[in-house]
Amino acid sequence: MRSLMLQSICRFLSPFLLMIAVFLLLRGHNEPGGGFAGGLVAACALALILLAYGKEDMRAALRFDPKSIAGVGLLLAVVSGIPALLLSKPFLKAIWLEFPTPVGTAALGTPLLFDIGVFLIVIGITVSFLEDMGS
Amino acid sequence: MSPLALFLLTGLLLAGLAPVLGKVFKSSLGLFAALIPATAFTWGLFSLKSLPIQSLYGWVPALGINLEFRLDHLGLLFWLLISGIGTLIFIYAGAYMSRETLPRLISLLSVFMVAMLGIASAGNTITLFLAWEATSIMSFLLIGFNNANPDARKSALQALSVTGLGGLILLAGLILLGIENNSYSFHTFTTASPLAITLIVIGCMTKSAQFPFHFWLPNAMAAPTPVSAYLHSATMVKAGVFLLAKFSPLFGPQPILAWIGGITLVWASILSLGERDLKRILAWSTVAALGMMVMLIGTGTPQAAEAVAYIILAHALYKGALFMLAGAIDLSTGTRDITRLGGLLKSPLFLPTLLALCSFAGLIPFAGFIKKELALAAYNLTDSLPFTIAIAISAVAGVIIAVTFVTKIFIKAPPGPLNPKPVAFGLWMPPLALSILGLLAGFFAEPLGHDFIQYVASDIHGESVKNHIALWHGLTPAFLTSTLAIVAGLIISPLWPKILSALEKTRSNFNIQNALQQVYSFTQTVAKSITHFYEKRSVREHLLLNFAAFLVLLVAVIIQSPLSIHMPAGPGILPHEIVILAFAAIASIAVIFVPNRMGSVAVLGIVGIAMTLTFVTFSAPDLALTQALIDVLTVILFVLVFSRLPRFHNRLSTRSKAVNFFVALAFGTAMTVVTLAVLSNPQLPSINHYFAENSYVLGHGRNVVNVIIVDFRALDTLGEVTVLCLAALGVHTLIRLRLGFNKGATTE
Repeated sequence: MRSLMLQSICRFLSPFLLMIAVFLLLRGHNEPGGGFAGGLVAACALALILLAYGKEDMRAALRFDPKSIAGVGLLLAVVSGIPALLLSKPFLKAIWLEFPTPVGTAALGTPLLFDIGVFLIVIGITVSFLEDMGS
Repeated sequence: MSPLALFLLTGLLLAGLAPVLGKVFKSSLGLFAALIPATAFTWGLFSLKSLPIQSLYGWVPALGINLEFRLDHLGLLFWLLISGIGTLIFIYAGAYMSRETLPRLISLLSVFMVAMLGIASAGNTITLFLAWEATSIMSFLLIGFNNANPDARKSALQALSVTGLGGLILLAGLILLGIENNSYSFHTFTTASPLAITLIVIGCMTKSAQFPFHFWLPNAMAAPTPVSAYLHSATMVKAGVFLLAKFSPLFGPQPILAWIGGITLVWASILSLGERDLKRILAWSTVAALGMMVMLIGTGTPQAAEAVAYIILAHALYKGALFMLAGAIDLSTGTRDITRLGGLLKSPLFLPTLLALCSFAGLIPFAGFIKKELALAAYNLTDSLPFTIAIAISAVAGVIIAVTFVTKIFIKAPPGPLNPKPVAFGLWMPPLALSILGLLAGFFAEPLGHDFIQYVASDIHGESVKNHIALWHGLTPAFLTSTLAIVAGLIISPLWPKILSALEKTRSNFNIQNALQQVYSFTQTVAKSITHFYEKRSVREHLLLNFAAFLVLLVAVIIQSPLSIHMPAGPGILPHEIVILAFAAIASIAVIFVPNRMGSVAVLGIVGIAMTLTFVTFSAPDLALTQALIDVLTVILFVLVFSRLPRFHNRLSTRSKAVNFFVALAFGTAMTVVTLAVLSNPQLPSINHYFAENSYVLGHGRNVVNVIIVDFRALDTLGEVTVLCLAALGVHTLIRLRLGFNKGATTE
């Protein structure tokens, strides 16, 4: 049942899709994208592997149980709210660290952690759905 | 951080880490876990002089809702009971439970302990209610601890239904009280309407198993014994008593409450004679003791307040010990049926049981003696004879049970072969410690009353109460009544087997549980028939019903408040937009005529793409991106599912096709009209500008949509993704279940 053509395309396409996913995740704060969109793209890449190679190979590529990935994502999202609590601010209030770089000031904050959490949740849930439906 | 909050957080931490700690400490996890309540107990003892201890944490300050703690003498009495008995229970559980189940029990018990300490130290009704509900839920989980046993599950559900319903009633009462006083803090309350009082009292009655809500407590004995000893005798069931006592200065004397307590006292005392199971006997006598406390609170005199304060302590000491001993006997002999036990005189359990029973029967100089004296002294023989009689009946029942326990379990030879196993140290040391404390609490009653109990009584009564507690008051009417009760108990106790069989015969006739069971099954029948009517249909009929119901509601709303629609002003429709819309329209119509499922999905995909393009033309790139991705994944999902479905046959009659057509058309039109109406009547000033202006300033991001999702509205997003995760787990489980049935195998 495996299609050679699909497999060949998949080998070529899925790394790109995964890179785009991370790209979307990271640029999301300033340009269209974000954890949700990035997560969906990553899920598309995994869906492609699932269709081309089947569940076992997709699991091998993913390495972790998708439900655990979603769980870790949820944990990250919750954890991203805690620094604010430690500074006596409301839960989930964004905390930013700014530091200079050669090309200007860079700001790194808890929303990025939150977004990574969302990213992982979306991947985990979508892949878990696809796996269940496909099995 | 105040020590109060520190203990609560440490307890929760222990709950989270118990599974890991279980691997490190193995069976000594109980001993390790006991360190936390032991520290809390010691802290409690040393803070006696610095009461009240207060602390406040903002939660929703805008609504006046805070986590407020305020530990007074009454609270400290409970704090000491919870942490002190908790220490012994953790040690006992370490010896009682198997190594596999111990970490789970310790975990649940720690959460429970934290919740109980929260009740004891709550400074406002919100904090109290939070902890109150937590104890109900933990009680549910702990009663159903042996979750493979259907009886345990049923009892757990019963307890949750009664206490959960009571919790809701209590919440209504507490909110009402909050509105009446314009504050939620206990020490600011000045008035309470009869309705608020009634609601709060009912809530407390369910928690403390008062008639007619008493039946759940004996059934809760399905829980492992450490749980019964801790939750269902020493602490949780006293939460209702605690709250009533806390509100007692506000509510004043409540004669009806006194009567309810009295009825519970007599009723449960008699029923305690009609059981064979040691734990159920003790459970009924716990219900009786709770009845006595409620009766005294309802009476509301200074003497009654003092009696309540002392009884709470005395009862926890001997009843906690007796429960632990019943569990130890069960582990050692394999039965809790009193008629099958006997000959355990040489067991190390004999001494602690004897001590605890002496207190239970009310012999001088044990705490139980003073408990009975104080209760009797709170009533005067001529004015309140019924209450005196009620206390006397319970005293007689107590003596009968104590004598029966001693003769049947220890002295008489067992009726059948009984091979008691040796009893571990952790099983008899904690009850022995409690029993000895019970003796000390009686012996040193006067200093105890002078240094501590009179302040607790003052908290309960609302005004300063002078200490009356002493071991010996002389030949008072109370002493004579109590002696008479002991003599009567000794005379009647040989007749216990006859009382047992008589009560066992009549019990099935009076049963509130059965009535409740019928309400349950009726509700289930109705729910099942509704579900059956609705759920057995095909997806198509399902949607038809949903759409039709929505239309009916919508029409009703429009008739009440007609919509006004004016087309929003704009640049008009541009040529490329017409092309996009035409694609969407054609695809929507075409989907009806496609003969197979895959085709329908593909055509619907065109609609999705048209929507994506629309978003692009209205410069909403984020929406367009998401729409496109969701569309792709939906198609993949459909492909995976549809490949398993049977071939699609369109066998609908012309008539049902016409109905479908009409409903679909009406629904589509309605949605269009509603959307236009919403757009033409902006109700509230838009917040969009705030977001657009502050996105970069406050959120460090130029993508407003993303900044809203991960920063401004992060809490909403967190809620959504949590729901998403839960839904995914639910879907996963359902699909697995389905696969399991297909294979005829058990599910994962």
